[in-house]
Amino acid sequence: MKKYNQIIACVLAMIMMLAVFTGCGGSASDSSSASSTEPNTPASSTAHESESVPSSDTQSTPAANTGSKSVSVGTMDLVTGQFTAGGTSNSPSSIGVESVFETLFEMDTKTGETVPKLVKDYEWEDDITLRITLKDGIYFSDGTQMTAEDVFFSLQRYVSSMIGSYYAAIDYDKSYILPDDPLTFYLIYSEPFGPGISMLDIHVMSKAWVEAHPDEGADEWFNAPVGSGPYEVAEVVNGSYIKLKLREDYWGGSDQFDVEEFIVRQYSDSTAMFVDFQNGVIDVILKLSSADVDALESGTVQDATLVVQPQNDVGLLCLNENNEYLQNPKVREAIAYALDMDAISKIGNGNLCTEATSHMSSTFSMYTHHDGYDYNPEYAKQCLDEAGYAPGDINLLFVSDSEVANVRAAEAIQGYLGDIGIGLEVQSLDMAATIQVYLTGGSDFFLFHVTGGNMQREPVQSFATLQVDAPFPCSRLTDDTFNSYINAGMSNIDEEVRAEAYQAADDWLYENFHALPVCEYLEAYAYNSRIESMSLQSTVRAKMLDIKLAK
Amino acid sequence: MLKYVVKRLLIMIPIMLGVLLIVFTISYFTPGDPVATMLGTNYTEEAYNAKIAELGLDRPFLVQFADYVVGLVTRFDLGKSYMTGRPVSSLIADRIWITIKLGLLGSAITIIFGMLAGIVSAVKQYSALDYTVTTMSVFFASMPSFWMGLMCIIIFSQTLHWLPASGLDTWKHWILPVLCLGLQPIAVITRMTRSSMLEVIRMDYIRTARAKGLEEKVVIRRHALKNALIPVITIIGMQLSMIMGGSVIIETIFSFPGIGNLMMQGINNRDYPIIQGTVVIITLSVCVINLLVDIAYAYADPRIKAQYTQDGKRKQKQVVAEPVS
Repeated sequence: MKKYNQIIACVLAMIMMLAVFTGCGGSASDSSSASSTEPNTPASSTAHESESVPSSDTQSTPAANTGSKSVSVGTMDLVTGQFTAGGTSNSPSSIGVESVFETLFEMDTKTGETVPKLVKDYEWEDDITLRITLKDGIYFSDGTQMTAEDVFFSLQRYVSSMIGSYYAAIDYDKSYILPDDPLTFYLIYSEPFGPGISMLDIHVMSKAWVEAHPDEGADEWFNAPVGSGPYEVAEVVNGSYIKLKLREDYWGGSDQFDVEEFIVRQYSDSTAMFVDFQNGVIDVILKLSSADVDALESGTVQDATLVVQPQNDVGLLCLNENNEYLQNPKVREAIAYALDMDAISKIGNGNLCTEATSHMSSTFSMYTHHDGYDYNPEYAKQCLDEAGYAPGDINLLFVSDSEVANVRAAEAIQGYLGDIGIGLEVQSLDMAATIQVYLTGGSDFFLFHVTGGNMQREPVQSFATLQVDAPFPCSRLTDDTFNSYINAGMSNIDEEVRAEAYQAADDWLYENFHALPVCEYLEAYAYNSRIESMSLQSTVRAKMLDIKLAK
Repeated sequence: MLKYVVKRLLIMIPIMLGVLLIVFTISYFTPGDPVATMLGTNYTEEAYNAKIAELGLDRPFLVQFADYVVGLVTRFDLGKSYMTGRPVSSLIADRIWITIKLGLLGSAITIIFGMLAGIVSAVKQYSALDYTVTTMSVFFASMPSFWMGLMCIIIFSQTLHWLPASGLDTWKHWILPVLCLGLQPIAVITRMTRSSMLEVIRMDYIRTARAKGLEEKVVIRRHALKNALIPVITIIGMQLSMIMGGSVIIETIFSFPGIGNLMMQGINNRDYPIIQGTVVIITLSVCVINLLVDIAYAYADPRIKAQYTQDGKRKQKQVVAEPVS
C-alpha cells in the first residue's frame, strides 16, 4: 500500500509539473518577438502587404460565407455604445461610427492628404475666415437633407465633449450661415488656426434628430442612430456584436460598395479573436499584436493577407522638467545617449515599430529627417560626470501604465540607465491610476504617444503633451522659445510657415534633449481570402469603406 | 420554515448595504480619475470641470452614497455608466440572462458529475476507477480556470477545430465555457462527496441495511447518500457562489457578453456605477444561493426541519401555558 501511495504521489507530481510548463508556454498572442517584417516606405506611406506562405503544417482558413456579401470583423474595442459625434469615450468601436456618420473632411488612404468628403468647396477668405459649401443632395438615413445648421450643431457638440481645445478656437458667435444658401457657412476663428482643415474631420449629426431625442441615454442613441453614412445599424447585441447593413438609399450611391453587411464582433481576449480568424469565423482582424503578426508571417494562417502600416505617430520619452536633475541639460544629454532606442522599441513593441528619425512621424508632410542620438554609454557617463554627478547620485521614478509594451520599455530603460549609474524605479499602475500620477506630476518619465495614432497627421497633436498648457506637468515644457514655435505652427494657415515652425520646434527638442524619440509606431490588421483588397485609414478610426470582395 | 425564510431575506438587506458601502468606499478612494481616463490626454479644464459636475463627482462622498442608495431602493436605479451613458440597470438586464444561463449550466454539471464521480469513487474505493477519479480531481482542482480556458481554446478550437472559441450563437458555443467554469468545482465536490460517503458507508446502519438483504444501489441511494449529503450541500453552496465569481474570468476569455465581462470593462475604465451595479447583483445572487442551500439542508435532514417547526410549536405552547392572573 505504501508503495502504491508513493507511485501515485510521483505521478501526480509529474502531471502538475507538466501542467505548469505547458501553462508557462503562453498563448499565441501573449509573447512578442522581433521579426524581419519590413515596414512600408515612409515617403509613400502605403501599407505593406504580405501573403503568408503556406507550409505543410498550417491550418487552412475555411472561407466563411463564400458568395455572401457579409463581412465579419473582430476587434477588442467596445462595439456597442452611444452613437454620437465628438465622443470617444461614449462611442462604440469606430467601425460603427465611421460607417453611420460621415465627416466634413477625411484622409485619403492612398495619398495621405486631407480631402473634402461632405464639402463641395472651401476657401480661407482671410486668416481667420473659412468659407465652406456643402455638397447638395446629402441626405440622412431618415430622409432629411443635411444643411450647414447640422454642421454647426455637430461642431458645438465637439466643443462641449472633450477635445474642446481644437474646436474652441472657432468663435461661434461670429460664425454664420449664409441666409440665402443653407449649404454655405463661414467659420470665424478667434485667431488664425493652422490645423483648421485637418481637424474638421468631424462627424455630422442631424440637428433635428438630436433635438427630437434629447435623452442621450435612450435606446435610439445606441441602436438606431441617424447619419448620412452608407451603412445603418441593423442589430445590436450589447457587449457582443453589432450588425451594419448597407443603405440602398445612400445619397452617394450604394453600388460603389461591395459589402452589404458588416458584423463587428467584440472580443475581450485576443487569443479567442485570433483563433476565430484562423477558423474563418471572422474575415478581418484589427489591431494585431506583435506576436500575432509573427504568427501570420510564419504562415500559421493560410491565405491571409497581413497589412502593416504606420500609425502616423512617434513615441516620445518625455522628461519631467520639474525634477531638479532633469533640469540640467547635461543630465538629459547623458540619458539621451545612454538609451539604445532601437533595442528599447523592439523590446516593447516587437516588430510593430521602426526607428524614429524625428518627433514627427515620417508620414507627415512637414517631416524632416534627424540622425538622432547614437547609443553611446561611455559618452553618456562623460556627460553625467560633466554635470557633476557620480554614479548613484541620481534616482528617478518612471510610472508606467500596465500595457505590456510600455512596462517592458520602461524596464529596458531602467537597465540602460543603470549601466551609467542612474537609478530608475519603475512602477506599473493601471491606466486610470497612471493618469492620476501624471496629472500631479508624480513621474519623472512619461512615454507619450497619441492614443490610436495621429490620423490627421497634424503635428499639433504630436506636440500636444509638450505645450505649456498641456494637462500633464511631467511632460509639459515651459520654455518660451519652444512654445513660440508651437504657437507659430498653430496660428498660421500658411503651410510653409507652419512647416518651418514645427521643424524649428523639432530641432529645438533635439538640441535640448527633451522628449526623446523612441520609435515610430506601426499597426497591423489582416483579412482572409474572401476579401480581395481593403485599405484602412487606421485601425482606430476603421473606416471600412474601401473593401473589395473576392469574386 | 416560512418565518425562517423571511428572516433570512430581511437579513440580506443589511448585508447588501454593507457590501455596497465597502465597494463604494473602495472605488471612491482607489487612485485613478474616471473623468481623466474618459477625456484622454488633451482636454480643457472647462471640459474636465463640466464632466465632473455632470457626473456628480464633485459632491461629498456621503452625499453620493446616500443618493445612490436611495435611487437603488426606490427606483432600482443603479446609476448611469460613465463610459456609455446608458443606465446600468439596462446594461445589466441585457446581460444577466447570459450569466444566469452560464451559471446554471455550470452548476448543473458541477452537481451531477461531481456527486456521481464522488459516489462511484467511494463505492469502488481503491479500484483503478477510484484512483483515476482522485487523480483527475486533484488535477482539475489545482488548475486555474483562466489557464484552463486558454488551453481549451488552443486545443479544441485552434488545433482540433471541434468547438468554437467565442460567441454564443449555437449550443456548441456553450460547451467550453461551461466546462471550464464547472471543472474546478466538480473536482472539489467529487472529493468532498467521496470523503463523506466513505464515512457514512462504514456506519452500522449501512451494515444493517445490507444485512436486511437490500440491493446495493438501494443501500447507497436511500441510506448512504442522504446521510452523506449535509457536508456536500455546504460545499455545493460555496462552489456555486464561486461559479458566480468565476464567470468573470470565463466570460472574459470566451468573450461572453455577461455580467462578469461587464464588470471587467467597468474595472478597466474606472466606471464606478458599473462596478457597483455588478457587485450588487453578484452579492444578491450569492445571498440567494446561500439561502437556497440552507433550505436544502432542511429537506436533506429532517432533524433540521423539525428544529424549525419545533421551535414554532414550543413558542405556541409557552403562550398557552401561561397562567391567567
